Amino acid sequence: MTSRRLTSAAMWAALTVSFAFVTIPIVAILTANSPAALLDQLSDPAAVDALLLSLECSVIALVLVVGFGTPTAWLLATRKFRGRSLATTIIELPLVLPPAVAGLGLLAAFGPLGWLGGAEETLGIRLALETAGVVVALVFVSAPFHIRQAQAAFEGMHPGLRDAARTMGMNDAAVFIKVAVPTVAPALAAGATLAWARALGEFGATLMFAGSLRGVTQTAPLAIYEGFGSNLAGAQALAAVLVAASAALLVTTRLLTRRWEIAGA
Amino acid sequence: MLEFNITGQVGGLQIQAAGSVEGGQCLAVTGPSGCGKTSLLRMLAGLTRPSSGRISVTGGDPWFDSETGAQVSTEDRGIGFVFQDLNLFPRMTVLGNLRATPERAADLLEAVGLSDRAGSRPANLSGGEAQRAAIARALAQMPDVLLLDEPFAALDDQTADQCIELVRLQIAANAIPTVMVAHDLRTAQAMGCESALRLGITGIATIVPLAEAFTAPSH
Repeated sequence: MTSRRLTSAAMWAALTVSFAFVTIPIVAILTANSPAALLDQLSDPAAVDALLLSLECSVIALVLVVGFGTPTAWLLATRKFRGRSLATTIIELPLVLPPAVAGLGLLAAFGPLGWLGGAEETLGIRLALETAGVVVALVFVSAPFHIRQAQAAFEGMHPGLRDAARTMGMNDAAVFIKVAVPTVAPALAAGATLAWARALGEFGATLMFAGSLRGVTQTAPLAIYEGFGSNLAGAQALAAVLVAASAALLVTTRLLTRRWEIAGA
Repeated sequence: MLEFNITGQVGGLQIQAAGSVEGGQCLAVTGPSGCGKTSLLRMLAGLTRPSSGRISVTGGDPWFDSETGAQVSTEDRGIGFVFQDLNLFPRMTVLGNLRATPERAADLLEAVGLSDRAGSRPANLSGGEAQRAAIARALAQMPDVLLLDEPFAALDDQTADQCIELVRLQIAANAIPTVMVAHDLRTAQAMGCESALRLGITGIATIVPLAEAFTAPSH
């Protein structure tokens, strides 16, 4: 009995330490400035530019991630083809890749001297040190969050639903659009939300590939880094906004996932 | 007329089945659990590819012919299929599941007693209601061939009789060849089946008179 109580107490202690370890820095950020000072810092044009750019780029990236990632996840989940496992691994690689490495990779591929630099110049496209480059970096690092979740959702869908749809005259595209996507919609939304949260917090790959030019490529995380050396209160205010946005997205993800689990696929 | 003479490997079981069904008629498929009844329907639907043989419907290209390599995809076969586990689309309403014109959907839902459940999701239906929704969905497609996998199993006798009557009228009026997995003589008789394709535990099927289909095979 004593042993059982000790084990239970140790587990609760572990939970308390874990909770405190994460909570204290978050609370510290949120309380670093008074509400009035927070609002004052956030009215700074540089902060507004950074937040708006983060919002704009992350929303564009999200549209691209969902638009390309969802059919990709469907194929990976439902088709057996040579190299499928390898393709899945490569698509998920940015999840574990150091952001600086991702940035170097993007430069080597899409930079002016990269593999596709010549083609971009011919087409009049410029990505490095441009807002479009920020979007590219955000897509690169956030796409696996959506694709991984969507693939798991499609794999978990009852295979009989596909069979039923086919007997009703639906081809593969119709099965995907009319049956599969609506069936796992909450899971897809949860994956998209996670990807969005990752895009909002992206730092390293963006800095390496797009730089940190105010109003052009300086997203909120980059502005926080710059403000750290010159305007700590401003950096803390931006950080508080990102904490609030991330928390809201995480809660949304949890609610959507719960709804999906309750309804069943 | 639906004609088939196919062999297929499903798991460790080799299924051999041959038969024909006239338009408006119903062929019962019987046999012990695990003998391949559902697998036979799946092969007829094109959801599982037979290893050899031929499936054809009068008036069209063969659905499957291992000699010529012909294979019509499931979505182009014009099938109505009531699955054993129904497979209703969970995020769609009953009406959405039918995917038919409003008039036809309304008629079918009324015929199966689900008019007041048209806007319900499958998760909110009882077992019997879900089964009736699946029957209505299969008929809503105006199928060329109807495949039924124990379609009345979850229904009480009175509701089963109503649904059987509906299905019989539909297949007679539209001359639809029908193949139905059945577990009891009463249902097969009520559906007007005159003979049955009895699958043995070895997966080999033989055509027998209906009365013999539900007795243990003699050795």
